[in-house]
Amino acid sequence: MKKMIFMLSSFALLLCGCVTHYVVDDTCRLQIGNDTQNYTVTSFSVVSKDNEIVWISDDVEPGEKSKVSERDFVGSFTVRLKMSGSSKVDTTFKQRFDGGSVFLQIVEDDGVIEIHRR
Amino acid sequence: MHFLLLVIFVLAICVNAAPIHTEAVSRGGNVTRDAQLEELGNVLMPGAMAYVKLGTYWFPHPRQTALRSEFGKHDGYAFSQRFGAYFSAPFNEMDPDFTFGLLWFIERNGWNSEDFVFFPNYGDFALVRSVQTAGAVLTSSKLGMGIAGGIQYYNPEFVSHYYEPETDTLYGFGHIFAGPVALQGSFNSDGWKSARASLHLESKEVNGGARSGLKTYLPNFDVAVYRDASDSVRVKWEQNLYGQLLYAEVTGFLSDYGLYSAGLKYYPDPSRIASFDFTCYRDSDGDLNFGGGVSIFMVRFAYNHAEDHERLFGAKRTFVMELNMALGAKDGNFFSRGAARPAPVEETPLTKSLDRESSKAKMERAAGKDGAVKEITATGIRREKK
Repeated sequence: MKKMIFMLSSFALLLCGCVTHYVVDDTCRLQIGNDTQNYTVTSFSVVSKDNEIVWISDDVEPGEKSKVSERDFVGSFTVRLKMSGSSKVDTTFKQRFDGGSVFLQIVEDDGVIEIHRR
Repeated sequence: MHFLLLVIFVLAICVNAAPIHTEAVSRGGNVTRDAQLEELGNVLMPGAMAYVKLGTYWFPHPRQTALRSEFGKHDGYAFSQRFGAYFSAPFNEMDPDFTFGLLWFIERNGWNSEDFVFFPNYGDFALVRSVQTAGAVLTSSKLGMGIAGGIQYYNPEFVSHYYEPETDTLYGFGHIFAGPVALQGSFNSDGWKSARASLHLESKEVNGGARSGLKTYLPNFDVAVYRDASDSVRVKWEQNLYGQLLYAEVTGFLSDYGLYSAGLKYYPDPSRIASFDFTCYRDSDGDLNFGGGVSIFMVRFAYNHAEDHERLFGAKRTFVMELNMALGAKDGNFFSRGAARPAPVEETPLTKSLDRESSKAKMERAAGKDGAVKEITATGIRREKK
């Protein structure tokens, strides 16, 4: 009986190895909210030394939200945010995406651009 | 409480795992092709036999084998699914000297953002390929030699454009062995790709050698030459240290890389059904990495093991669980790959006692209560009316 339980539980564990994606997201659905007063978000992309994959390409006006875009980016990446307005913003930074739905809110606090994740 | 601590420990190990690089995944195809050729050399022996292998890694957490691409670190799964079979039988059952065998090994490996068994989702950063080796084998027990030949098919199923491009390629291979010496070569339309010479001096009972004694302490050498960018030469030395239970294994390259890995392997039984390993490998940065593993029949657990570093695209500090079986059978004996002796199979007293009982029962049935055999005499033939 013990052998049977061991074998069944081992088999169940092994099966789990191929169904993890039913409970863990392997894609990320991203939306950007622009809560600044004077800037328009022009693009949000994942970058490497030589390449760039644009994730959010539509212009996001102040007070608006972008369309939701789904990409195969789950993990830690270097991202690039471009904005135009009173001055041009072009910044790169590290960001971790755990998969599922991610909302990045861009806010302006005393002239400093901050990115809040919700 | 103990379970919670175990979960925390395993998660800590998972997060600590170093990502594997896209370049290493690209190189992995040729590593697999060479591993199949090396395995073929280990498996073939004169006489009728069978060999079956089955294996797959299992990673419950997507950060155990994350992928390092030019964009960053991707959560996901490296995978390696293996199956292999080799059967040989005599040409003529009256003369079991010459045998003919067929072998087929297949391994599907790569990296994908989703785990799967048969049908991957082919993510944007996935690489899925399969490598197959098929061949025919002729052996002679009297001469103690054999010859094998066949093809290897390298099939890139899906290669995203963040990896080196790969193409379908057909290779040919030849393998000849006589006693302790084996020579092997592989080639494709561009010319020769690799050559291997093996000298397995250790006397093993499964090959008809000694069970104990000095001859079992002789070394096993494998030297492989690869036609690649650096024309590397890989040398492997396996040495029995104690009673074919404790072995040392050293692998290195005759180039700037030098020593690659060293390990101590303890097999509680010479049939290698179970093993306890302690290994050390040198990574591309020159750092030494210590690890080990436990293997019991079909299940294997390992952490930072040198074999996983080599087979699983340079995975480092990774906790590995694997379903792994590689079982040979010859003359009614079973043994794991590379074992010195067959597994201890107990005599079957149950069958014998059943036989004994059945013969006793037969005697009792034939005998009367007084022990005398009943005699039945026919007195005539009666025809029944229809």
